[in-house]
Amino acid sequence: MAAAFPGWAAGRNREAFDATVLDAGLIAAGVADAVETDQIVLKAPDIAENSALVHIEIESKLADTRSILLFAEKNPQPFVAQFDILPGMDPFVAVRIKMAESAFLRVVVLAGGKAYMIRRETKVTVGGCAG
Amino acid sequence: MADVIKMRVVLSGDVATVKALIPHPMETGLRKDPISGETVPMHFIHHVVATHNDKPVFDAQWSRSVSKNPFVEFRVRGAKAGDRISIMWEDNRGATGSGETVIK
Repeated sequence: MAAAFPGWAAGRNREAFDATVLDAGLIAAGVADAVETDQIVLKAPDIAENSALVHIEIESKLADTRSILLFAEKNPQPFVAQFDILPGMDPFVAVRIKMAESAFLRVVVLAGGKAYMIRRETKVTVGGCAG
Repeated sequence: MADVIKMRVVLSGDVATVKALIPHPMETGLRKDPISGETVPMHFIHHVVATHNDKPVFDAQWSRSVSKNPFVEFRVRGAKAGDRISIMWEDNRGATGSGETVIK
């Protein structure tokens, strides 16, 4: 696929994004063996009032953070987003996502050539992926 | 798309905190139109890049799980008043959009 703007990286890991179960997505993204750490801060609601609009904040305290990957473990396609952090940006990002059902959110950070992760549960009252 | 990306930047020291709202339906392909009953085709932003004075600060791949009219917040280091922050996106149909703001 041609890049839409000059200088864009064209790569998209389609296999990882298309995966319909978490394990396949993690393997395709190459992060199935990520090590759990408390050096990633994942802020998300315990109970999401609107499952189509779940506010999530991610901050990495790991040196040399290069990428932040977000998974909603029970979404139809669990891999939600990947942010490649370039020099000049803090390893912090906030986004709003849809959650199909109550599930663990998983953040994987690629830092210093290794994969680290943290996960936490968010409950939703009504499914969001249809809305 | 004619809709404009809403961007707000707050400068604190040399760190610019950027909050943006990108108008886009972000259809999952699972939703049914409540009137026609037809499934609304998948239509979502899959690639987003933000730049600081034309230098990329993040390069993101998104799925259809990102919310409608996506919100994104990020922090740029080494920023000062007069600098430009831009966001560019492309969706799964090849449509593109962009927005730019100048730090005050």
